[in-house]
Amino acid sequence: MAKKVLTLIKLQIPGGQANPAPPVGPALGQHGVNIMEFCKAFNAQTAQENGRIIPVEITVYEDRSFAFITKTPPAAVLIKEALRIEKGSAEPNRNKVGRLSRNQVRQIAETKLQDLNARDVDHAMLVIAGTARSMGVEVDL
Amino acid sequence: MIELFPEGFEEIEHADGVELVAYTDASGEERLWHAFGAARGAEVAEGWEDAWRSFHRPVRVGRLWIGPPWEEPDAGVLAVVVDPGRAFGTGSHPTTRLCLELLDGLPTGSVLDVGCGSGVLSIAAAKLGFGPVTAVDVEQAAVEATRANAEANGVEIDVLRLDAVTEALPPADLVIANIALEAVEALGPKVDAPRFVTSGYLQSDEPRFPGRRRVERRRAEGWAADLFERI
Repeated sequence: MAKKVLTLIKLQIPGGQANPAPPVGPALGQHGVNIMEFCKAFNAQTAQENGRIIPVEITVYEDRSFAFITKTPPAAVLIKEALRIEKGSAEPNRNKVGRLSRNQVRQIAETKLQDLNARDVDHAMLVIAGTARSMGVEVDL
Repeated sequence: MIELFPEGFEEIEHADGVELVAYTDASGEERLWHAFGAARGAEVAEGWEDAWRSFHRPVRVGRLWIGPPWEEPDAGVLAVVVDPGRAFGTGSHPTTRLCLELLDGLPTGSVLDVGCGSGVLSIAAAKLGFGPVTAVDVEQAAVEATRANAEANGVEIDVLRLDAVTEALPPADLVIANIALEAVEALGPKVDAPRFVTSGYLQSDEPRFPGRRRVERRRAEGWAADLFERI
């Protein structure tokens, strides 16, 4: 018999580094999930990400057992990595903080494709370009 | 949000949008106000650290019963009563069960449990007739939890706080390491024991150690545990 789902918890946390401190502890703990067991499982699966922010969706069942799936890092994180910048622009229309080449946009689009609501890589590239512009990053398409 | 809270945040979906949630203090709330111009604060209900306890059920592995102090052991079992506190190891995790299955089939002798957590594996080993048992962990919380649990179970375990990856390890007949893959691989070459039980990693992970061969692998729910012997 399928287990009854109690809730779905979505977090964005550094891969391979989950610990019982906030946000993981209180977000999961208040639903009765064994925090240490989640941390062990998440860290085992995301060890190679080594601190990169990973979105994770945790399904909590009525008996408080859980299952989770990890997603690709947010586009903004991948864009910052590609440009080696700390953060996006506070005034994206005026202050530009970098420029992505067509190849870089394509690489990010390919990484994100499975999690984007996009028809194909070209469509995904437009989505990534939109995110980049909103961060004050210019794009060569 | 990531810039404000590099340790991470939660997303809660509502019909009309997504709510971003930071678990933070007054200074974090102020940063949120500063960045977004609007934020809503709410206290997390007390007791979140231990809410899982009410849903925790004992498990049976062969002759062993592993459960919390607030449950009554079945009759005729080797009871391992574990209050994990904040350390890992309630007995219900697949890797703990797999290690116990491997342990139960081995000839008894001295044991070194690396990354002992709550001490569940050390206590189970002592109950299965292994001895002397030494347990080590890098976390002070784990050292304290193992000491308290050993006493509650009436078994003698030598518990030490040490970093198994960088410090020397005492020899034993059997070394158990239910930790992360990276740590298992790092400490493997230093292990001075004829038998080495490893776990804490996924079925897709395949640790290898020079001078050892894998003689058994057990799998459950995507996790794996291995028994290695010296060649």
